[in-house]
Amino acid sequence: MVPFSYAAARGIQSAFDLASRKDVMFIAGGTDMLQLLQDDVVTPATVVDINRLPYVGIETGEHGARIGALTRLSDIADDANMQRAYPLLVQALRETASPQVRNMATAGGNLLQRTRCLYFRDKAAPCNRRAPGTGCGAMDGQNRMNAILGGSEHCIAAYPGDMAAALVALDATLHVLGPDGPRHIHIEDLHRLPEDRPDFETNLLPGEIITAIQLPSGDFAAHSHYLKLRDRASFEWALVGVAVALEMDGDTVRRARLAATGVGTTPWRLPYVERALTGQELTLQSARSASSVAAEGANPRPHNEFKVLLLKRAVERAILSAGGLA
Amino acid sequence: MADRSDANQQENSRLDAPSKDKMGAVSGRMTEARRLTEEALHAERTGDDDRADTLFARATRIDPQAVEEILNEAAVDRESHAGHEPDASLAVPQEPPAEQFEIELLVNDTAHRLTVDARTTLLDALRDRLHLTGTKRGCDLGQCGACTVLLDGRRINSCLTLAIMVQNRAITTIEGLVKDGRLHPMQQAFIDCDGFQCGYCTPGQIMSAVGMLAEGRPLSDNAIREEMSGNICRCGAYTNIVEAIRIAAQQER
Repeated sequence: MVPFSYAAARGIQSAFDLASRKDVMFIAGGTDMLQLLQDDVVTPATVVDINRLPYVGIETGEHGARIGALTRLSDIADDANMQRAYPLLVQALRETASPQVRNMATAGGNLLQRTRCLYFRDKAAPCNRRAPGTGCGAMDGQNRMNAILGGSEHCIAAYPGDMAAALVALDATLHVLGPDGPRHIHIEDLHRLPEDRPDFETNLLPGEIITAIQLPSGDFAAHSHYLKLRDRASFEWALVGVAVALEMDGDTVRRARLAATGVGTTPWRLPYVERALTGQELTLQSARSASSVAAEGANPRPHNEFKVLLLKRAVERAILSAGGLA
Repeated sequence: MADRSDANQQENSRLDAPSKDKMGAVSGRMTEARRLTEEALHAERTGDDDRADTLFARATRIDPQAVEEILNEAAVDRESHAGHEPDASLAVPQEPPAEQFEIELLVNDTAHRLTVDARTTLLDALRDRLHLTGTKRGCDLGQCGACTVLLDGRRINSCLTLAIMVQNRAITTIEGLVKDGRLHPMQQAFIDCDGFQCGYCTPGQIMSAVGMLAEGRPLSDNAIREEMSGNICRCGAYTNIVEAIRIAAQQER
């Protein structure tokens, strides 16, 4: 680790003041930050601890739920109201990382975790995301874990988080607070496609902090599912993760929201699948037919071509599980 | 983790070759003493005298002769460079001394005041500063669980935690489990069930298992496996670890 200074924000204004210094990074749970610091992937001059800010806890009501951004993942997964109203999110969280990490990691920090691309995490390797202009080592290298959707010639790093896929399927909105005041960002607008500037990873502005995740209420709790496929049974990143939330009228799909992780450069919504399902009776055939368009627009590389078929089959399986047919 | 162990193996073979030493234990001690001494020299260079003293003392306890040899080598190195103009392009940039912070850690019900660099992880503070070496360093990246301790009763990876961020919160390490000279039931269960081979991952396994019960997790064999997935055992003692946790959980009820 390169030496850095440390300061704890006592309140939100203190966080903004500290953030106006040069090369500042906020730290909350620290589970990804410490890995990045250990490997010199990030080298902040000052680390600002935001754990004392009051954005902790879960409120649930008729109009949905509000999760404080500093709430630990295990506390969300253990919350009885969340288990009842948002089993999809709880399921995704239970399959995230390890128990130790879930006790430490925060909701906001989880959304902002960095890619697991091998070249991003190795400071000696070329990487346009970490070191703009140095090239992309993954493009013709070890790209098995990389994205098949949303990549550019500059970057094919996959977004790795499970929770974000669930939040996209649940139509979540983020509360954000910055030096210029509060605003809302829809979960689908948080992460940016790499395009020609993969180093700009999110649409947060300097100093802005995610304070809460807002979940609308809905009629999908009984028909939702998170399916995570990975190289070992637990404590592993998704090769493909699929979140499905269905609202049903009897056997007919009234509304479908699906998102995938591990396959896109951002949490990846699956609009073609949603359109193919909506208004259809849910059957083995309609699920297979809808899943056939899951990888529309995919541009795989030599080592991750398997993800195209894996994504389609995972989507099919997750739809059937959500609909109670598997 | 793989990189680190490769590096250790290379280091071992490099040291083994000239001495023709086939005694793994002896070369292991020497390697450890060498590593500690080199770390101490580095700490001295970066102005962290406290850490340097601690590391020299530890290295000397392990192998005083090796420490002396390395210090002589370092002195010869310095002499051979004297009189030459240093080549600026080869110079390793000197890190400015890191900012120091006074912190207080509450470990196993005892408060400790210490001065740390902001980079100091809880794992480093426990092992290198408080000499509570029961907590083990494996991967240093949160992947192996050897460094598991309890923070306010819940399991965390001490390698992913900055010491300065957990001041005055209740930290429990494996050393804190013994009460009135008696092993914690989970420790006893690991012994009774033969829940380890080399023992390196064991403190982390036990802390994770204690935390798992404190967190009220389900206790089927499958649930135990899932709940213990943050702790890796390279000897593969998993079957007996699951049994130990099952038995300790039954006793607790």
